[in-house]
Amino acid sequence: MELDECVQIFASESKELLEDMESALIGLEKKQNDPELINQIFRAVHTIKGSAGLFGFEDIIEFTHVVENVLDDIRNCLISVNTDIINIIFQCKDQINLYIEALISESQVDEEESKRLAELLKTYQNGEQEQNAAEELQADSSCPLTPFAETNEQDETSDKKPAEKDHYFHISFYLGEDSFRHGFSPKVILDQLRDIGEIISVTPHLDHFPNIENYCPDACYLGWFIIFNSDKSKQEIAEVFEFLDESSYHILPPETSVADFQKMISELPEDEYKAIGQMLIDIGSLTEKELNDALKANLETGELTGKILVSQGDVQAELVETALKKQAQVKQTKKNAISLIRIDASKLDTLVNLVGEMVISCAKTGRLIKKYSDEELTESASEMTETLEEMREVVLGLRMIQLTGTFNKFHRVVRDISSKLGKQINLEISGGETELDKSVIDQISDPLTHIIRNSIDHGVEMPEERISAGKESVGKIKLQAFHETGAICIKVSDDGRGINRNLVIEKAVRKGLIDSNKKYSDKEILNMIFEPGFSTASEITDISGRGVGMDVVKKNIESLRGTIDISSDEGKGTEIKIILPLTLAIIEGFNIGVADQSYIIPLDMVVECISVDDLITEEIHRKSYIKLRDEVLPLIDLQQFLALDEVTDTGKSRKNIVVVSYSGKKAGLIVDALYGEIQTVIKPLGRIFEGIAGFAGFTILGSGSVALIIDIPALINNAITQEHKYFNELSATTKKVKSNNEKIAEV
Amino acid sequence: MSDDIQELSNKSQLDNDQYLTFILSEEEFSLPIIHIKEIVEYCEITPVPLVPSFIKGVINLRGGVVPVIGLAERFGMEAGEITKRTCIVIVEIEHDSEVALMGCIVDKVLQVRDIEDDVIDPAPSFGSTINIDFIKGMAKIDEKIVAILEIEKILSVEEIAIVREMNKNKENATDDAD
Repeated sequence: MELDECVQIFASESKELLEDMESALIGLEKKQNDPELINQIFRAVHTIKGSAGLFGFEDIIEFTHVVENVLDDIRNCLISVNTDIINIIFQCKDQINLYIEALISESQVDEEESKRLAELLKTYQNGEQEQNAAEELQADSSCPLTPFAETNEQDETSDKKPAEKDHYFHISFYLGEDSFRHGFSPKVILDQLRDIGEIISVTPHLDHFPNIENYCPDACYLGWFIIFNSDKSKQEIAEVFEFLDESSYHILPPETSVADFQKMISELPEDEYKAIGQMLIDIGSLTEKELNDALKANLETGELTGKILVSQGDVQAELVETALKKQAQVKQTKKNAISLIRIDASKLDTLVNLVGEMVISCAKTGRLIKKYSDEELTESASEMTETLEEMREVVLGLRMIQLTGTFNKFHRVVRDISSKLGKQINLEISGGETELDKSVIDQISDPLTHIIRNSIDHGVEMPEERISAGKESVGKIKLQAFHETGAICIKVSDDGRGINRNLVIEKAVRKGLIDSNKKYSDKEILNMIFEPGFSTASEITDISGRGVGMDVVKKNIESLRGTIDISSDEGKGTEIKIILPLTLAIIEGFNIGVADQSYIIPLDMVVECISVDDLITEEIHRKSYIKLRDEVLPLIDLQQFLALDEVTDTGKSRKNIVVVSYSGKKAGLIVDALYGEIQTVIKPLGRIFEGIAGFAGFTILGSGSVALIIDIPALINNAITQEHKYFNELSATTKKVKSNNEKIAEV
Repeated sequence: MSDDIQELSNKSQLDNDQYLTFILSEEEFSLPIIHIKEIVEYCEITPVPLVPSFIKGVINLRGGVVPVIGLAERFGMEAGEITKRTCIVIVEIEHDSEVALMGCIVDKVLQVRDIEDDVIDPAPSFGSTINIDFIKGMAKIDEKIVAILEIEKILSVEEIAIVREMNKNKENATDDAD
């Protein structure tokens, strides 16, 4: 159970890292030699590899290791950055992402793909390594055969020089006195070393030989000092010595890598306090065994571990120093950093729900208190309401996250698709810092992807076409987000060819979506794009054009209580505007009464309320619309629509019309009573009521009773389908009225 | 180890043996208590338009909205008058590993009693007052026959789908009425 949670955290952290990596990769395409970006990519892979190691996810480790190696070479300028390798790393990033997703879904990853990518990466590495080998051959003749007591001094000087690419390890080891008696030969070690690298030189150490009186002829007093060339890590080399129990051995990593190691230390994440030894192990300059030995010595002698490590010859003094500095720095950042806590989203949801409940019970208490008209009580209640209001805002704020993450993903989408199609497109993003409810953000990503794909595929033209149209060859797609009167607006616009109305009509007719003889307004034509089964691309590509797009997009956005609007200038571009509510949990509602029941209409859709006087009542009875300020206002009688029984004991039979508007369409709802504004916590309809059109959810009123929230878009759409009928009736009634009038005149 | 499992399953078996008996239109029925979350007094029910009549509406159960059905209407029986004894039995229905709550109106709750498996006979193929699909078995208690209800069937997903269908039809009907 706990492990599961850890894996979850690992997965979500890795995903974040991969996102960073992707944005860095995109940046790298533009600034191919920015070391900071390369480091960022390297760090991401390195951290994932490290964390995967904690859990023992061998496949991830294996794959990330290969990627990391190549990235390391890039970092050390051994491999030059070009578009090809960036492409491969992009694919590697996707592959790592697949691994992470497979962890969550407990599925399998296509190992073939990993192998393919690993092979690709290796070709890069090998190409470079051959070069290295050549360089090393040249360096061989001048190879220093100094005992390592002196190498420390050398390190300091070589540090200041730019890193040369020799990989010489300095290994010293003593076999135990008993080794020969056990039949152990040092040749085994040398043979094994030869398997994993090249022995440059072997120098025996004779300083363990005792005085002649203590000398035992079958004891082994020998030690060796080896200069060893290998691309293996220190840990891997140490494995050769691992099974020697009594022997003591020290491996000093390549001298020139001190600078690299120092860099690695400085790049270790700053959010975690680590012991120095652990840091050194992390960067690979120390093995666990060496650290354990040093720690033991520390216990025995009381000397500082770092000093022991240096005196044992396991690490260079500079490294310990750098690690110490880093440690201090981490301590500092720890203090300064805003402490972030990862919280299960469902806990947040519960909190939001609870606060919602409190809002309800507070309203109820307030209502009760009014009855007693006690001053103190009223005052205390209003204080409570105020605090609660504040609390509600804070709690809702907890769920708000920035759009940046979602938006930045589109760089990749644009990049991949446009290069596939041979188009040149720049994506401009603004307003990424706009915050939206997490649940909205989660659901907005897919529709946006679809819209952007459409823009790339259908909107922006090929470079030649653009030039001949007098535009810049590089197309532009703008992704913007901003606040707009209590809602969030997301706009996707391109400067492409726009929407060809004639094509749309032609297509719609062919698909049997519209009547070819009828005249349609510009808006209606554009909105045909949202019809199911509509697709204008004459050729179906794998990017878009399957005709299952915009209708789904529209549906998704409407399910978020949002609206989508399209405008397009032919030849100049298309703009798609999505308006979303800030949050899904609580809305300002308008409480109305129909047939003795309370219903809620979302307040932002209410335009005005009109009381129906007798004259209009007459009008309503005859037809389903009224004329309001020279505009025809279609009416929906809620009581009829909801098939409710007519209230019999209507003391005042005066009805009201609530004018609502939704994406530019207006309608009048005939209701019995107006109760005023109310804050409502939306509760989902639940499975049993899911199928009912016309309702968006439930809410609990201050009185404790449940009220239904009316789904205005569904209601209006219903009205629109009946519009035709209305107008038919309209002409029928006018005729009737006329003939009636004529009759009256005759009489 | 296997003994533990045995014991556990015995225990759940025990729980399964307990049933809540109640009255619906002067007839005694029972439900396994394992499905029952709680019993609340009859309270104001907010009707939901455009649904079949056996769905009485929704209630506010400590801040949660719970749909309520009239069991009697569901079985095609005459609904009893609302009295002081009328209760809403809140049952838990699991579907797709989600637990949904639903209220059932009953006329009177009697008691919780143990009914051994061996006194439960399978539902008769005909001759019962309600749709036999809704009956899990018939139990003989004190010389009386009590029907044990199959709550999953009564409120099953398929049933809900039918409910939707009905409500669609109804919608069309109202459309036509316009």
